[in-house]
Amino acid sequence: MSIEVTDELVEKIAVLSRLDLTREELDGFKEHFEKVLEYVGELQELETDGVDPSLFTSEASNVLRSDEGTPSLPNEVALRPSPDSEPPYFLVPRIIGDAESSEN
Amino acid sequence: MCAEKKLDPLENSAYEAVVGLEVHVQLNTRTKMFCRCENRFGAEPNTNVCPVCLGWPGALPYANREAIEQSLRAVLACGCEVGEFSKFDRKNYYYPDLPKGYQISQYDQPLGLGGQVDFLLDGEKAGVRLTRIHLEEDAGKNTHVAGRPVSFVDLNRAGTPLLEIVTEPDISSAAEAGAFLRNLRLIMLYLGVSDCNMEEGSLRCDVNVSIRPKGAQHLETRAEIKNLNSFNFIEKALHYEVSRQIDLKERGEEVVQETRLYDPERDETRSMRGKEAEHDYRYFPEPDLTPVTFTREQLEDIRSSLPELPAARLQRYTSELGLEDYPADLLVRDHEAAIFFDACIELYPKARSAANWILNSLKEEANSRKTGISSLGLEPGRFVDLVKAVDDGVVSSQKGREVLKPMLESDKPVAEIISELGLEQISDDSELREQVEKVLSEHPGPVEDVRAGKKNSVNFLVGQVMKETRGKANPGKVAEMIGEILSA
Repeated sequence: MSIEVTDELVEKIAVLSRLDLTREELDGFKEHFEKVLEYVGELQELETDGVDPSLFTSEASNVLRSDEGTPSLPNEVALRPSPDSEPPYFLVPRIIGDAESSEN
Repeated sequence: MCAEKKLDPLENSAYEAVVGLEVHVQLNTRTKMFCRCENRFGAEPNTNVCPVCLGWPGALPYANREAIEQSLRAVLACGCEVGEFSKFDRKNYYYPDLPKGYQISQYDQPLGLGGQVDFLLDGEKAGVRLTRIHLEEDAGKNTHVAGRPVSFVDLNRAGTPLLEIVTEPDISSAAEAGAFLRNLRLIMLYLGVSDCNMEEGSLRCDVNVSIRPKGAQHLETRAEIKNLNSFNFIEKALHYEVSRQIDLKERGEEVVQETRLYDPERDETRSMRGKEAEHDYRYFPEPDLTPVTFTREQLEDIRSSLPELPAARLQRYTSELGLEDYPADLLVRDHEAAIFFDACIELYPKARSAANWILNSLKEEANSRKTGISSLGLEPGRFVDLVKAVDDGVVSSQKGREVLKPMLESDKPVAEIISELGLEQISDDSELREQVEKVLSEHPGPVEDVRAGKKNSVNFLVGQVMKETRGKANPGKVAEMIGEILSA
């Protein structure tokens, strides 16, 4: 399995990441992605026939908590790291369209 | 075209609709899915938030056991198959209401697969198969103010537990979609896993619609209408979308696979074109959470602890308790009324009397207060005292309704309220006879009519006696007495 990092792929990832990149930046990412994949590609050399895929790094399961609350952050603390806000809301550049929520 | 939209576009059409739903049900846990913030609607924006649900670097999710248990109840109640292993996955996309840049959801090993919801559609048995049910976290909420180049984001809802129920494309009309959803909602209410309040968004629905020539078996290209939050909107959006697709085909154009939004103000669906709608979620297993596993015994325990569901309850009301179909259905559809009814018949087994009083008088009181029966705070025992008082002839059915109001405003025993208001029915025959004779002597005309065989005049005389006694007489008894006196 090897993924060819094409210009189209990098551009698609930029769109999915909502990033507006220059040609130079796109080329830079292309090179970077290739290096990452090459590095990870070394794993392909290992013999894994007959080994189940491992989805998690630990064997643990069912690490669950009780349905009990603790206090949340005060509004001003929650808003502090955000680039723009108008208490009590976070502000973002107007979202195109009028979806109330992205949830799907 | 505008006027036609109100009608079912499929009537007399050469096409049929193929509809599948994705229903989102907000679970009613106390805290969010992966953090300990409160899971509550209506709080001041961005006050139920913490580093986990705000997606701050280094904060890690911690799954809520109650949310998983509630989900399993729903999954088992819908007849899904539950695997012994389930896991969470990341669904990657960027949107301002999703602070982490991914939603924790379930991809290839959801909690439940398959299943079916059965219901009645115009008195006929119908059923919709389910594809799957999975658990995920909800996103926050965006609002926009006209004329400002910004959107406001409230993340209180971000990270709250959400059940997604996906159906097979088994639905062929807006009425069927509505009937399915109403029934699914009832199941969730009976299970106690959600309040399913559509106005507050705790039950929302995406609708996948395509059309095809009547009788065809294949599926054609579908459009998805997102985020419908009322039965009315679902029906209207479906009607609009079906007629839009029929118009396209008639003009020889193709339906495009796309996401559309329903605009209630214009009563139309609109394409969400552009890069915003372009998705490639690149799911992968959520490395910050462990998988969840269940033993057969655990699942059996949950299954055996499920409450009686709507279909079974309806069956019991009609076949065991002897209620007519209509009142039985009305009770079952109102979860709070059904619970109250069951508590009443434990104390007083005359099911029909209890059902009548709940469906007529008590619901009227609840409706006039814009609340449900449980919020009236009425003890079933006191309510039963009233029903009994009417059944036993202590108070007339008409006057009984006047007793109900003060019962809701004080804790006084029912008998005391009846006597304070002077509403006891006249049980003393001689007292009643006196009143009847008085009325007969005052209305010689109608009396002659009755003697001449005019039945309506009996009703008039009964009415006069009821008036004289301010409703405290038993009308049946009065009519009987009039008959006796006049035939003597």
